[in-house]
Amino acid sequence: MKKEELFEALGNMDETDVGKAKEYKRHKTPAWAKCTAIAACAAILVGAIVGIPALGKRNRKQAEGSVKTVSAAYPAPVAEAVEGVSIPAVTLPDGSNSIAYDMIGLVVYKGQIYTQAGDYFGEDAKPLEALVGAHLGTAKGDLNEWSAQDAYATEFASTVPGEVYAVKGYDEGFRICIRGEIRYDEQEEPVVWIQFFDCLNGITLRTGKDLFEDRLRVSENTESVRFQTHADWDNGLGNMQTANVNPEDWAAFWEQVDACAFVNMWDPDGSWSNPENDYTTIYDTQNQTHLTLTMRDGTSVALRLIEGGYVGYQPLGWYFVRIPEEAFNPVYKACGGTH
Amino acid sequence: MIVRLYWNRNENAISESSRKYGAYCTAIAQNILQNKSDAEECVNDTWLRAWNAMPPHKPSVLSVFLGKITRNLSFDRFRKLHREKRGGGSLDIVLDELAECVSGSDDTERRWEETELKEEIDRFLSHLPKEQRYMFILRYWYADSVSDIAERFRTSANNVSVTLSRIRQKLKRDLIEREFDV
Repeated sequence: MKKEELFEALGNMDETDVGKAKEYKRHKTPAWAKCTAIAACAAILVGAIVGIPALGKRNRKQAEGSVKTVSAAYPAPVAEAVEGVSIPAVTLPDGSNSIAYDMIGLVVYKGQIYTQAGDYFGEDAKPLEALVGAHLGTAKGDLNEWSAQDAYATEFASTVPGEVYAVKGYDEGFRICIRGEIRYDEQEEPVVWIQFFDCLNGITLRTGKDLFEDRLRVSENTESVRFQTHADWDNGLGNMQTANVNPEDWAAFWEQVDACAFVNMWDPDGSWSNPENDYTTIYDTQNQTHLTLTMRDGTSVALRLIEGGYVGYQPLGWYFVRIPEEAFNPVYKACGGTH
Repeated sequence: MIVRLYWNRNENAISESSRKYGAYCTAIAQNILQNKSDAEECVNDTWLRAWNAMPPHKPSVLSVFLGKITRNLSFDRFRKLHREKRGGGSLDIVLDELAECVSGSDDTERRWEETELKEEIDRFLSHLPKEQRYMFILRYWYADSVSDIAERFRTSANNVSVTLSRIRQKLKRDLIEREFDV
């Protein structure tokens, strides 16, 4: 089927909903309700967010203090000076029609919730076959938007059904995968798909090293770097460009990322509790760019760089490592970042 | 009331339709064609098509019925205009997004009827939470821009893009599982 035919087919969808959709407008909710809802959404999206104002404030103060220390010490690594962030375990909000938290792919394994971190299909999945390790069990695909918290406590409960495996070269406590096959035609070979799931909640991340080296092994494993401008990413155009980064700049960048503290960018200045504000978040700026690191083992690591020295792992959501701009800007600029 | 005018072959049906639904239909045509004069022509053709369709047709939701005619006419014109040149306009982006859900090949051995696909899409959408369903419809029925949808939902464009992407993935998975070899 061609995309034009699907567009035409979608023109026949239920008329009642088509009419209601155009009339719908989300009303501005009271500040307290908004804070609670956003916190719940974000918690599931990235593996739990510190949404409780008091707790958020405490972490923020810790993080700000850490960043100041790091900045002052640049360029020397200052890992011993930072505290980082504790990311609480995911909890499931009550059933609701909120838009953000119910489409995340997730699997429960050994009591932890692993969230979707990357899909590979067909030719892209072939090189990853070598990474598929020991069989761990079968994901049930029994969770949907309305599942209660109890369902999440069940081993191998998931939103995606399939066979679950360890991933060779990665800690099982961090990354597992589901491998499956789709046969489009009985005459043809089945197409393989592999989906990675990372455990990014119920953990403490002090510095970038805790994630980017200890879990993702970025320094030893990166083969090439591509980037996508924010406008391109925002519209899903997929125009990836090869990044021409000076190796010294790249090394200095990672030295700082590994040494600097994670900061929690959830409501960083406490302004979201004020109903007069329009809740502009770190994600709303146009001054950001999107990197895809191709690893030697065939996997990809998606990063988001945001003006001001923020380095984020896409599946992690609101938590960023903030590094000094002297080390950040050369890489940011070489990867299409704007000011 | 306006439907009754059509059924009574009262020519005020057209002026009343234009007055009440002109802006609605123009927005749909404009989203698809990105050209004011082309959009106006499609909207004018909409009233004629509606006149020819009623009777015998009796739409349950007149606005959507008229909007659907506009959408079809506009898309026909879009395809005519783009037959020889690659676009890059906003509908091209919408179509490229939908390309993620389909094979892109000519479907010579289709094993299902269009009505079955319609029913499956309706079933799929009915299982989505209300806001996701509306977001999907605004993007792929009305071809609204991501930023317009974000404004309507008081959220960021990023959030809309990510949500739509997940719905497309889920739709693709659903269609494959239900053996719609799209």
